[in-house]
Amino acid sequence: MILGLQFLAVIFALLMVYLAYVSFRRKEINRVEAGIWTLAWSIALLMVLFPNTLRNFAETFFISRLLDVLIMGGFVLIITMVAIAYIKTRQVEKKIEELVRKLALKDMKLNKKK
Amino acid sequence: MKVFVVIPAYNEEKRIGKVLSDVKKEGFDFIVIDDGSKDKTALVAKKYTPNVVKHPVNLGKGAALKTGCEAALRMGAEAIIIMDSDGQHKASDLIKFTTALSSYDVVFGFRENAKIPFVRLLGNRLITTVVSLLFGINVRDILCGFKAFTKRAYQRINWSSIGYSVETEIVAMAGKYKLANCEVSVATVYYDKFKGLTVEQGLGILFDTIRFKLR
Repeated sequence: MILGLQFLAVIFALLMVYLAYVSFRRKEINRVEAGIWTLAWSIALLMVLFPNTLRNFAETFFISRLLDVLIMGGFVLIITMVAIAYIKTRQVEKKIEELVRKLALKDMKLNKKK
Repeated sequence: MKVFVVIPAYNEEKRIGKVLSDVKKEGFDFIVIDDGSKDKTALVAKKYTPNVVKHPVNLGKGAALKTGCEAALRMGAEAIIIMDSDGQHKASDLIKFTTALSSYDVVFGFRENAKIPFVRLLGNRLITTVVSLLFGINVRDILCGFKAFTKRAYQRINWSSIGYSVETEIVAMAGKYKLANCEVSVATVYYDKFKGLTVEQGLGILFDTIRFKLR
């Protein structure tokens, strides 16, 4: 029998798979990215539906409750994604800065010639 | 030594004219960087110098200063003085920097007896302590925007901050690379009570200071 919390988690995972699909259709992400997201949420879906599959994993790391495994996994995932987003933002910021500087200095050169 | 004054500006059409007029009277070459202003800052600046560089979008003080320094180096600068465009610094203090630059790589201005708002003073002290502990450099007024450095020092510091953290990064890198430095007192006038760093920006600078350590 599926519990209420499991039901919500399944709905959420399915929505996220749909979101990955829509993003792919809009060409916001490529085929590989869409595949990775679909795979990740499918694994999450399986873990929610068959939580006992994680029991061996939890016992290996001396974690008594399955919920703790899921929470820890979630934290690791969130921290990783925040770090990646931070690095990407910095890279884009740097590129914009360089482009703006290049344009500004080019304009200065043109003004001098005039 | 060929010295250029680099003046970043953002929405300063009301005050920049007086600043540029004073700098011109002192006989310095200068470059204005309009950091994507929405007002007529660039137009006002062009009345005083052809050396006006305009960012198409607002990036931040650090980025504007870097653009100005790059432009100055292309024009043959051997040393650069940076100052604010809101009139809080006096052009008559520029000579103190050029004198000190003949013996030092980096010159820091410090606001003596200035009526700095309490919260800003507190933030300044905190950042000064953190920078002193992390980089082994003691500068009285890290957040003062009146500074100078030689071309060699600029290339060594090579800051990455695009915002207000640039002031801290310059001091931190001067400490890290052990650049010869000194301080000169500068007069300061606060025209606008609400201008300057916010608490949020101050916390951002503290976070950035740790990032500079990892550079």
